[in-house]
Order: sequence, then structure tokens, then C-alpha cells
Amino acid sequence: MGPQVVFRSRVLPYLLVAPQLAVTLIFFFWPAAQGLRQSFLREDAFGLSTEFVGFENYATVLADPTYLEAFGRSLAMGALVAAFSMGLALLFATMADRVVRGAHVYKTLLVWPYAVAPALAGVLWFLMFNPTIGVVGYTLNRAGISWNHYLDGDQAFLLVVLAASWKEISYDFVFFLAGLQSIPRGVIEAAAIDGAGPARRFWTIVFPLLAPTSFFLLVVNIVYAFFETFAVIHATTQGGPGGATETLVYKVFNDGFIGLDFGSSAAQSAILMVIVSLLTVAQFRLLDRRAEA
Amino acid sequence: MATVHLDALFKRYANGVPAVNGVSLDVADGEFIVVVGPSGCGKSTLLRMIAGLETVTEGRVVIDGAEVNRREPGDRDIAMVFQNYALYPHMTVEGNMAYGLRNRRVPKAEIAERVRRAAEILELSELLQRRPSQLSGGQRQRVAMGRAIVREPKAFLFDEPLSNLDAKLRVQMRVEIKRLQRRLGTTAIYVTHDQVEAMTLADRLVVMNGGIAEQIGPPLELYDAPATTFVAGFLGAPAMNLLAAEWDGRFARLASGLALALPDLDRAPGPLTLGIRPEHLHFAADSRADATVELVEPLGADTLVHLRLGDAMVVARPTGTVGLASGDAVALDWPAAHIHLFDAEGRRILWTPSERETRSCLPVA
Repeated sequence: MGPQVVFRSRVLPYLLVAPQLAVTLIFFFWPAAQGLRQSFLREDAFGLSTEFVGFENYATVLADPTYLEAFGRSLAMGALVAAFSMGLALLFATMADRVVRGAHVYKTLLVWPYAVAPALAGVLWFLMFNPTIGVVGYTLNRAGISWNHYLDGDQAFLLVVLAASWKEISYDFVFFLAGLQSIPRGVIEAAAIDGAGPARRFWTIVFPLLAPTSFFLLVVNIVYAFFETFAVIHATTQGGPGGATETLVYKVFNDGFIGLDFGSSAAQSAILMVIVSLLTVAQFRLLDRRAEA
Repeated sequence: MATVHLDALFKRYANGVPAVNGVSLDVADGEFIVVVGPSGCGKSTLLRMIAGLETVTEGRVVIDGAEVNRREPGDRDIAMVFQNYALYPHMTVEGNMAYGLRNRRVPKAEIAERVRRAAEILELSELLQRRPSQLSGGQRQRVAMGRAIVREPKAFLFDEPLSNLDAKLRVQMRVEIKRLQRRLGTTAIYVTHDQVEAMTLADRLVVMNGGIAEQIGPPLELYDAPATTFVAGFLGAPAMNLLAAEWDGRFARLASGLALALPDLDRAPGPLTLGIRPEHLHFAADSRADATVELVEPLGADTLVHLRLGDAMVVARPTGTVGLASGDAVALDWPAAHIHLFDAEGRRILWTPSERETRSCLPVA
């Protein structure tokens, strides 16, 4: 623990945390409470009358096949984004860790995509893959691979995953690099003397020692893929074609703000809230156990 | 078990800084070599070159008759004990010891047997399933040793293995390392900055300074006949008293005005450095006032008496206690047999006075 500050006044500490508390209460707790309340209500499309319906909204949502499909899509997106971005980030971090000359240049360049807004990242990739004017899309079509993510749902989905992963690679890269650099050099050298080649050293020493970092990133990436891909999807496919890229968060938006079914939308939000809570608890549990060991 | 031969080893870093500046050394089979020197003298770099953790700029590292300059650390058949132990934190004690053997595809039954035996020798049998984080410093040190001995390597390399331990444990482990090395008969090269470790462990000592080996030899030989002022000042605590003097053909005149007759010294007049160890600097039963007592430190078995000699400070180390207090004036006795002479470059001057043991270089007023 760092040095502790002792306040003489009893009021000052509360005053100091008040702004942050106010922000949290007004922008997080209040809307969340509103959402929870709304999930038990049914409102007509014009907002003129509301009616308490208990868990009916939840029952409807969970029985809705399109919702369950969106759930599966979100899971798939989480898994794919995590796998893509973590895999590549680990590869880049391992390489950047070995670079001696110009290491800063590599590191800076690899971190840049993180500064790009998700919506822009999405638009960027969509332009590149555009079947008529995109560099990649045009090339693919010329090469005989039919590419049109405006029509092909799977291709649209893959593109959203790519755009989302590309941005997340930077984030994962930073953490993996920090993780790699915190592994004592002596341990790697000891393994070298113990007769382990580079590949074996990586899999038996480096990778296991990165496990806490990897788990942290896994949770962060899944949360990212669940929630923050909204901007990417909204700026590009808007859930299409034919709902192929409609994830849970996008469905919340669609049902609520487009479909004006506030009750259902709120119930979906509540379910998402539960998922995030579970992920966070799991993460803290594991980090605690690591800290004790 | 093997010989290690270093042939004019050089290490220069990319920025041109030389770390090791031409060190040659022949280590006999089963010999315990200690490389000692102040921090930054290149001793660790030297060891890391032998291990293969640093590339060799120039020269040859030969282990068991074969040049290993270009071999990977894992292919040199050496084992190394690191200062911070460098245990694998995610493996058990058993896993740590077995790792090197597994990498070399030793049969499982043999691994188990070797680990069992090593654990027995090092009293780790009860701890085999623990992780390094659950061990004390001394136990971790033992695991690091265990990891080295299960390999049955051609040579052990030690990089300041005891400097992270507390004083008491350090003495205990020092004895254990020596005993283990004798028992296994494995060639060992041990790097340290601690001169007590160096003196007690070594069959032969290498004193390094500024990237070169100042002197190589048995510890007591280096202690009794240091080849340079650096070695003279580095070995022994408190250090040897080194005094600048001017040789005029008959007397060595110190800055304080004291003149010492150096019998049979055949040498042209010029500057020299005169050295005498604290335990050899005696008090004379004279009424002369050669020096003033500045500080008396009683240690029980002996006493350290800090003396002012003109502008210079010297330390005497009489046994037992002495009835001296700061401010007292004392006369000093300089036994010729224990006076070391060095030239202006700090190199030892050969000087064998006749009647060595009896005569004293009495100061001349």
C-alpha cells in the first residue's frame, strides 16, 4: 500500500469524493435503476400509458428465438474477437519484446489503432472491403472470391469481428508487453541453460507466467466484444444484413429506440447487466486467488 | 566434470564499452575457482560468456576440450545458480528440478530418481510439492542448487548465489556449497564481490578489476603476495594500509616525514607505494611519536586502532585489547618481512630483505 493520508477534518474527505460519487450516481446508478424499473413495465408506443407486467418482458425476451440467436452471435463474436486480438497481440508483443533497435517506434505504431474511434475503425474496414471501391474487396472479387458483405451475412459478421479485433489488438498488446517485461530475465536465462529452445521456453515458461494477464484480457475482450462493438455495428451494418450482425447490445438499441418496445429493451439491458456482473466477479475471484498464491 | 579453458576473452558492448578485456584462465577438472572483484569489474559478464548468455567478442571458451563459443547455453552442459535464484514460479520444487532433465528427454524413472537423490542431499524431500513462493530465501537457494546438481553438468557456474541471504544463512550456505562441490567433484566457477566468500571457497582466486584479471592464484598466496596495489587493497578486511613514499636509495620517506630503512632494496630512487597489513603493523615500545591514535574499535578477539600518520590514515590490528585512547601518541614497528612494495604503476616490487623475520625497518628520525 502507498502512503496513507490522514484527514483532520471529517467533512473534507466526503467533499473530495462527492463529485465522483455524483457522476456515478447520476450517470450510472440512476439510469440503471430506471432501466430496471422499466423492465417490469409495458408502455405503449407513444409513451401515454404504462402498465406493470412483472416478469412478462423477461419471459417474452427469453422465449424469443431472435434473441437467443443474438445471444449466440454475441458469444461467437466475443470468442472470435478475443481469439483474434489476443493471439495477434501476443505475437506482436513477443516480437516487440525482442527488438532492440527502434523498439519505441514499433511500440508506438502498434498502440495507435487504439486511438481510433470504434465507429471510424468500422467504416475504415468496410471501405477497404467494399466490393466495388475497396482495395481488398475489389482484389478479392478479381481473384475469384466473391465478396459482398452488403449481401452476405457471414462476411458482414467476419468484417465486424475484424474491425473490432484490429482496435483491440493495441490494447492487448500493451498488456502483453508489460506482462512479458515483468517476467524476470533470469528465469528465461535459466530455462535456456536448462536446455529449452525458444519455442519450448515460450510454451513452458513465458506463456504460463502470462496466464493472469491473459485471463484479465480475456474478460476485458469479451466485455468489449459484447458492448463496445455497438459503434462498429451501428456505423456499418446496423445489424444487417438480415440481422446477421445483430448482437445483444445492438438488439437492445434496435428494439428500444427503433422498435420503441421499451419494456423488452430494458429487460434485455438487465440481462446484459447480470452477464457483466458475473464476468467481473469471476475476474476478481481469479485475480484474488493469484495474488494469494 | 570437465576442464574449462578461457583463451584471451574479450567482451565489448555495441556502444564500444569494454566489459572484459582479455582474460585467460585454465580451470582444472574439479577445481573451485572464485572470481572476485568490485561491481562493474566484468566478473559477471565473464561468467555469462562461459554460460553462453553473452556473446564472445573475441577469444575462445573451451569446455572439456571443445570450443563452445557458438553453442547455445543449453548445449554447453553447464548449470548456473543465479543471484535471485531465477526459479520457475509456476512450477513446484520438483518441477523446477526436473525441468532441465525433461528438456533433455531423460527417461521419467531416471528423472524421478535423480530429483529424489538431489532433494535428499539438499534436505528438500519434504518440500517437493511446494511452489517457490511458499519457500524461504534459504530454501529457494537450495532449490536453485538442486536444479543445478540434478543435471550432473560438466561445470557449475555461480553468479553471486548468496548475496540475497542474511548474514547467518550466508555462512551456512557457503559451507554447504563447498562441501557439495567437494562431494560431487564438479568443476565450479563462482562469482562474488564478497572477499570472505572468495577466500574461503576458492581453490584458486581470480581478482578482477576493470575487465582484466589482476592476479590468479590460491587465496593465501594472493593475500601474502598481492601482485598489484588493487589486489592488496581488495583482499583483507580492514584493507592493507597503502602509503605513498619516496625512495631515495636508502630510505623510503613517507609524506608524514617518517623515513623507513628498506635493507637490501636494490632500486633507483623514485616514488613507490608501501603496504602493510593491519595485523602486521605493531606498536613499538619506544618513546617516539610516529602517529596519533584517532579511534579505537575493540572487537573482542582483536582491536582496530585507527592512526593518523601525517595526512594519511593507517589501521593497526593488535590482538586482544590495548590500553590506548584517541589522542595518544604511539611509536610504530614495521617488520620488514611483512612490508609490500609497489612501483608507481601499482605493480609489486620483488624485494627479499636478508634476515627477513628478525629485522624491523626502524623509522629514522
